[in-house]
Amino acid sequence: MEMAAVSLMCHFAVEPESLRLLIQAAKAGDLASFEQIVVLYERSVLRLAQRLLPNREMAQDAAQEVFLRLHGKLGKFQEEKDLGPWLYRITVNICHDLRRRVKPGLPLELAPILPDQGLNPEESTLLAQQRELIAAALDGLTERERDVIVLRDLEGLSTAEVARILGSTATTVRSQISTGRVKMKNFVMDQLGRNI
Amino acid sequence: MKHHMNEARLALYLHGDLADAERWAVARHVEACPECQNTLDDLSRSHELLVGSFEEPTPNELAALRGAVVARMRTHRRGQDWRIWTFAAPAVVAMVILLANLRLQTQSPPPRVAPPAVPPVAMKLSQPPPAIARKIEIARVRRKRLAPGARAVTLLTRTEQPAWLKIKTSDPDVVVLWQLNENEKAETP
Repeated sequence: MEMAAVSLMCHFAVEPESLRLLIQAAKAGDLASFEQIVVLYERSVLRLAQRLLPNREMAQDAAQEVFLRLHGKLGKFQEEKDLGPWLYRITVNICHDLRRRVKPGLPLELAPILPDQGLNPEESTLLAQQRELIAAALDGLTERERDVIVLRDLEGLSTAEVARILGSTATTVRSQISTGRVKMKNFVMDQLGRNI
Repeated sequence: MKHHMNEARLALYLHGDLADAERWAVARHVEACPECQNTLDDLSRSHELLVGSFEEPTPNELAALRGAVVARMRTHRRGQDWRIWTFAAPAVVAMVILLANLRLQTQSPPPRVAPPAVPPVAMKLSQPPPAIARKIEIARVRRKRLAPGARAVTLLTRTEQPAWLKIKTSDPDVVVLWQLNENEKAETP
């Protein structure tokens, strides 16, 4: 069932007309239709929140808030527009608010390595170290550099899409991407060099 | 090679963020420059580690999210319903009272018992003519001549009933009704 999505950020392939009808019904107060919209976008929203926030509990809270805000503002949403960029923007904004409000400067914790991932102890240790390294590297970026790295390099959006979501220009985003990538590279190589 | 590529440019080159002409220029340079090739490799390694450090949300996390959203939506909706009733209930009560009043006012009066048949002459002699409600406006003066806030004064009289003074004020919701004693009754024209 996982397919290339018609709508940006939508995890499943949905015909635009079906999506429009769902939004229309949800706007009219149909909770079941809204639940279907949640199902379509939950994975992308939660994944983005997990990548932008220090831990998974905060990401859960942020994702819930995204859908509640979506429900509250659905009445103003124009059905012919793509919900994806709008959801990306809301998610990024809510993650910023949450990060600033809850604990500024909280270090990033990436997902723990679960026993069912099929890794031997050595591989688990290596992966854990690698995650710590990347978490520290991401912590060294500014908020905006981190946003663009997550949206461009992890979510795979184009520079133009990232600019649209962040309300910026493609030139500014390109500059932030290059700075972020170089900072991360320098940090990672520095740490790897020390560990060798 | 004396000159090397700017790292920022290499970082953009890595994932195709450069315009075509610039991309070709960087590609040509990197082929001939081992140092820039090393920088590019480091950037690539850093990117691989970044991508490999994140996972998709687990099914449990997604189920928890969906459940929490739906539960909060239902609570929110119940809250909205209550909020609507907070405003609607007084309006409904007021409407019921208003309708009840209107109904009472429009109900026909109880049937009158016919008076015993009396010759017209006798009635004329022994009884005064039947009471006729009269409404006499005795004053509608400018505001400055009345007490502050009063706009008009009207005298309402009914035969064999005490007279009432109706004073309209500047507030349309406030009307003062003042019942007069017999000795206060104003002269009517």
